[in-house]
Amino acid sequence: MQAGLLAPAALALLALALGPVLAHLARQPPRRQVRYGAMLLLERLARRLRRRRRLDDRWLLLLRVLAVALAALAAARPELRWPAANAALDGVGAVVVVLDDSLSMDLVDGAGPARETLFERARREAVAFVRDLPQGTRVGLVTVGGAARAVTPELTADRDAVAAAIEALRQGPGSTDLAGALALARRMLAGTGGAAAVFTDEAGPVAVPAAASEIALFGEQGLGLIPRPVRARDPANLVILGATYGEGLEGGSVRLTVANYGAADREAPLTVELPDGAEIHAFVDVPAGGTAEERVTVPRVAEGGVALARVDDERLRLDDAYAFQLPRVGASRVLVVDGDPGPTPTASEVYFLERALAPWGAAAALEGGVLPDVASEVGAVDLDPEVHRVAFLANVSDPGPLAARLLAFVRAGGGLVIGVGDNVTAERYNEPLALLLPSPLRRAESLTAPGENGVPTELPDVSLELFRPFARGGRAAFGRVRWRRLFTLQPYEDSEQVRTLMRTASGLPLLVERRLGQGRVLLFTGTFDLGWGDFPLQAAFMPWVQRLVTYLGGETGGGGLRLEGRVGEAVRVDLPDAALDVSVRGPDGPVAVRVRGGQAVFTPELPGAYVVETPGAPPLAWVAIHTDPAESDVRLTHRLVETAARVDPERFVHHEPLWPWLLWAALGFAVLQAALAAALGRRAAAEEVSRAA
Amino acid sequence: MTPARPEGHGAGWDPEVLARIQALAFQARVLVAGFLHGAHRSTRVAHNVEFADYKDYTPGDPLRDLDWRVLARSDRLVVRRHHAEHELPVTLVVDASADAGTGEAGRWPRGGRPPLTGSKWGAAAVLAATVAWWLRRRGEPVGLAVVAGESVPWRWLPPRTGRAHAAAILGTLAAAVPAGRADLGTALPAIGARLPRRSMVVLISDLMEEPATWAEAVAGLGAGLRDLRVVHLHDPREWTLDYPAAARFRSPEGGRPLVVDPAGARDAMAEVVADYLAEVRAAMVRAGARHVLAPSDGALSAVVARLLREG
Repeated sequence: MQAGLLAPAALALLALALGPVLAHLARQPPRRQVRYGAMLLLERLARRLRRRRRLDDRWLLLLRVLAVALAALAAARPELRWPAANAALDGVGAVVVVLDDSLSMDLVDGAGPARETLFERARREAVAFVRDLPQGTRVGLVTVGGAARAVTPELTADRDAVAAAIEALRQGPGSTDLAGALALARRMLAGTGGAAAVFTDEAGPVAVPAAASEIALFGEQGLGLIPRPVRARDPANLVILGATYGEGLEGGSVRLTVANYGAADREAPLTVELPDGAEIHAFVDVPAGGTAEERVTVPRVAEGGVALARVDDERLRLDDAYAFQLPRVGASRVLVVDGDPGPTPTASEVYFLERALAPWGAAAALEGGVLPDVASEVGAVDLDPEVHRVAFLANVSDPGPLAARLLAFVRAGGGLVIGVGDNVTAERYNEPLALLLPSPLRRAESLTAPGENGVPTELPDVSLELFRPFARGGRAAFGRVRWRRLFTLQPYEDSEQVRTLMRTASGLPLLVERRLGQGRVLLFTGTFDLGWGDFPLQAAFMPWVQRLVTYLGGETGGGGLRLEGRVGEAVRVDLPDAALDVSVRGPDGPVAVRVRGGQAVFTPELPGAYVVETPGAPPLAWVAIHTDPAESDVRLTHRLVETAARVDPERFVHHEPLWPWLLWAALGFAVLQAALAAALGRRAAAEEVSRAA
Repeated sequence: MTPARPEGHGAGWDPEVLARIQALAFQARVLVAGFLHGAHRSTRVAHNVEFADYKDYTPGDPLRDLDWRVLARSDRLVVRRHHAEHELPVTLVVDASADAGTGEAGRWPRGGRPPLTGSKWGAAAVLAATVAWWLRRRGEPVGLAVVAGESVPWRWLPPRTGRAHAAAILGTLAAAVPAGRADLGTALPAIGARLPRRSMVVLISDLMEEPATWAEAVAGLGAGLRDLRVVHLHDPREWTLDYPAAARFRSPEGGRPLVVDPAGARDAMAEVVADYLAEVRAAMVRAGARHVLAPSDGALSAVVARLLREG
């Protein structure tokens, strides 16, 4: 066994042992004696110094206790934890820049020269981030807005190219697909490792939580997540959450719901832009963090279609407009041409039609209901396509003078219902109305003998658009309608232009439709009064009459489909004929559309009104496209790092050990107390008044 | 009252004591020469030598004091009043405790007599001798009481006039050796009991005992019609800790020594001295005494002047 010294030079430290010896010698009591005649004063001096030393000792005690306590605390190895990115950029060889270009990033922040959108700031910071990456770092770029997109198909070492790609990005109105973007980034980093630097405003209630599973996968695969929040100093935004056209068949007002996602109450101007270009202005007061409703009255005559409600908000303009479906208002006025004013009300078709069309009277009709104009045969010249949408010919004896006007009316998109009666003859109808009638009239025939019940009506096919509202109820009421007499038609076959919508139980045509131009003609082979049947007395009569008006274009601008959609999501429109030549018109003009499986499919890139059209026919569909309402909520509710910490606490929580600090502090206090003790010792030695042994 | 029995009287005159007597007498004469201002004025108004003022005649006043000239000139009855000179016995109370035997004059043999200059006892003896010499010249009675000390021929010499009496005082001062504790709180009341009701008392002491222990005794000494004057002897070096290095400070009166490094304790010592002086002055005010600080290394003439000045 051998003993040796690994560091013999350290023996020089033994010289430190002289310190205590010198201190001991320095503390030796003096030998010199003085005869002193004022011991009273020295006694007092000793007491005074003892008091002072006791005060000094307290400080010394405090420092020593602190030193020991901190050392004990350090032994417990305390640490601070907080959510943080789990990867430092240093040493990462691959980085995917995830840039949020969703709608919420259009929020304007700052003032004056510093005024810019969050996207502009994020883009600037992302470019600087890429340019500052170490040489040789491989970089990728993924965007978040709408559907996440990999701008660079794979990682590249050409940082300038990535920076140029970032600078070329433009703000969009899409939603935040953070999960998709992280998935793309993760796939890009697969096999190489690295980190994703996410430049996002983290705004909205769902964007960050929706990415939780992807964040977890990041952790599981050992990838880093480096949040680079780009936040507004005082996020605020006004947005229209909804617009609903007024109640009733025709309605009369639009109810707008406006939300304020700011910290201050706001008053803002509202504008409702109707499909015909008319504008209605209003103001709305919205409390901070709340919503408010505002009603806007729509003119009695307004074009149907998709209207736009717009709130004036400078902070986030992309979501200022809200598209909503607006039925044709007021223009669905009905003209009833009374060809047989009866001696009694019940003997008059107009009596029953008026009450079916405006059951709550003219005053109610003026507030939004159907308002029928009643005219005689002579007064039928009042038929005005700009005002009337539907015309009823009720037992008109001689429609010849009206034929040309009626034809133009229907071709222009009007709806014509021809009701027969005792005044009607095939001779007066077939020739002048040849272009309008679905089938030439034959003659009026009695179906039963006097005193017998009439022939019942066949239950209608509710798959037909006309009867679709009766699918949920009311269909059976048609079976109780009986007919004693009807006008028969010459033989015809259903085609694209002509089809039978109602029949009697015996198979006689009751209601036949003919498409003509942009309008339709419905030939009703019965009467609207009680002359030939009991239809006006049955429960089905009034809804059927009102449905006729709607069906013929009174409710909407042409009766096309009413659809809602969201920016960036595909809209599918069922086509009556797959061979139709379909086009789509959006806020900025034509939109690419493809027909697949009998559906027209297009993806709107902007919010607003879209119309699906086919040449020579009313619009097939009116589509209101909205932005993602979650994007409008610019408040910061979920932080990326905090969400990550919840998903995978160990990976996304930063641990900061406190014990080294505590140890240093303990050491500091120890040194401090030593210095103080030394100073006090020197002073005590200097002041020392002690009893000599 | 008879004088106290002299200590060691039978041993005969010590040549050192005789030399000190001569030195005391010499220094006293020198100091008195520098202080030659008149006699004490009586606080009584009497019919004697010196005119004082007039007062209106009231029945009962002696008719011989009527000023006839004023009566003749102004037809007013006024009475002449005069100051009366009378004897004012003065008692010197000298503290000869061991603490008084220290000073800056350096070391001297233990149990020996400190030099007359440079020691607190020397200053005390010279001051007492000066006052006694001066009073003897004026023919006024002077007495001596010695507190503590050794080799004291007479502890108590009642106020008397005469050359022999003055010589006894000087002899006592010259022979005394500072020793023991003064214990003023006990000694002063005993002395006060012997003093005339109307007299002057000059206490010469370093007052190195807690003021609370002697304040009442001093007040008793100056009670009544007595004029109490206190000469507070001190060695400035002791009060300022003017010593070159740390040392063991030992009281001649005994007790355990204290180790002090003067350099570090000087500031605190100044505070202690200030507090102590404040207590002493408060006690003097309560006793109605004139407090005269007398540094042992200073000019005693100034002290004598302050001590004996009128008012």
